[in-house]
Amino acid sequence: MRYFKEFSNRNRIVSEHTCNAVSNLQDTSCYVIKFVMSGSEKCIVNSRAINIFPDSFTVINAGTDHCSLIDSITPVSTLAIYLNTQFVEDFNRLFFLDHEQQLAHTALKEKPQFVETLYPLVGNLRYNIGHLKRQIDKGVEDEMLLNEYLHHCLFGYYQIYRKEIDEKYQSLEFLKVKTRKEIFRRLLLAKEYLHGNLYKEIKLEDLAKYCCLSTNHLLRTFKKVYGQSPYQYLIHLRLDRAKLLLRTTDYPSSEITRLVGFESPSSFVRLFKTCVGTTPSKYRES
Amino acid sequence: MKKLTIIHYHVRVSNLLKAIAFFREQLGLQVEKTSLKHFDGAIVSYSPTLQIFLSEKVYLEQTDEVHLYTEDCLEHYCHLKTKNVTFENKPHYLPSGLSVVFTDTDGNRYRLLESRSY
Repeated sequence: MRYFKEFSNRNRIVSEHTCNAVSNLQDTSCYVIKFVMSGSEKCIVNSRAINIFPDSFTVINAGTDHCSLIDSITPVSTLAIYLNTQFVEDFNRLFFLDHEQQLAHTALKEKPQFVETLYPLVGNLRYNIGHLKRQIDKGVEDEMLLNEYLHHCLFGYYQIYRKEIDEKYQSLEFLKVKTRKEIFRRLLLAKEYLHGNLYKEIKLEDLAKYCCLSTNHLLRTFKKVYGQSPYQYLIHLRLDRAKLLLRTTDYPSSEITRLVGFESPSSFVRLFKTCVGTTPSKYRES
Repeated sequence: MKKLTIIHYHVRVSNLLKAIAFFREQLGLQVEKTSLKHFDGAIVSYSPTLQIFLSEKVYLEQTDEVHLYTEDCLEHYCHLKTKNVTFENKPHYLPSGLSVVFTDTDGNRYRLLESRSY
């Protein structure tokens, strides 16, 4: 099942419900924001695999070569929004320039280039995407309304970008900008690895090797940026994913334990109760 | 069972008929003309828990700012735009959610608020 809508300003929305799909795309005229409403999708961006789940999304710059893969027994529901470069540039001016600068037609020096990584689907973007998906499912064709949602989705993304990229990047203390950028890039790789592999046992050494940092350097800088060790980050991630599965699926607790990478159902229940304050079954009922 | 609380707003209008037309035709709400011992005007039903009492007469506790809760502020905003409702601003974010303000023919302000838990 596929929904496709292209607007007069060349923005596009594609919503799919499928078990198997492969798409290869390089679009120089659009920025792409990819969401997964249920299931998971593997996205290869610049030869790097990013696994998108319903609690996250990714952004792909205009002109970046990317490929999407879906291979699942149960149907995966995805939503991709393609934002025309002019639409994003206009929004960028609105976001960064004050009213006087906008009236004076002050131009921003650079075209927007976003960090292509995995972002948490939180805050206003989560609400705006939920509303947009509901309108699509209702078959709404109103271009003004759908473009309003896209505008607010972009706003929600900029809020997340500020928190996840700008603020976290600033928290790294390196004298050389080049070093700071490189360390931050490697930490993003570590974060993507944790998100994409949380269902299996992850060793600190493997994580350090993946992001090309020594274990000590990884531990120190990861904690500086994310406020917790990679292991604590992973546990929170697993619990958040478990909460999502408990809310949105009827999978048994044992299956959820396996999907989020806990060793045994008893350790999952014990940790869940310690951190969330209630058992998984009571959480699901509530 | 939780007790249902109904919020009432009292709003003064200069012309009741014009105000009724605004609420019925532009906002698409149910309006009932009412003449009671203590109130003379019209009652607008916004939701099962929110009513607006319109009157040309002066009553205690009348306000010129009404808070209306909505499930989807953007949908509501775009719908009312097509009905030529005048908005004071564009939808904007508050700590409690997404909001936009429109006015009636007398300049009373109605704040649409989509409550969001961050």
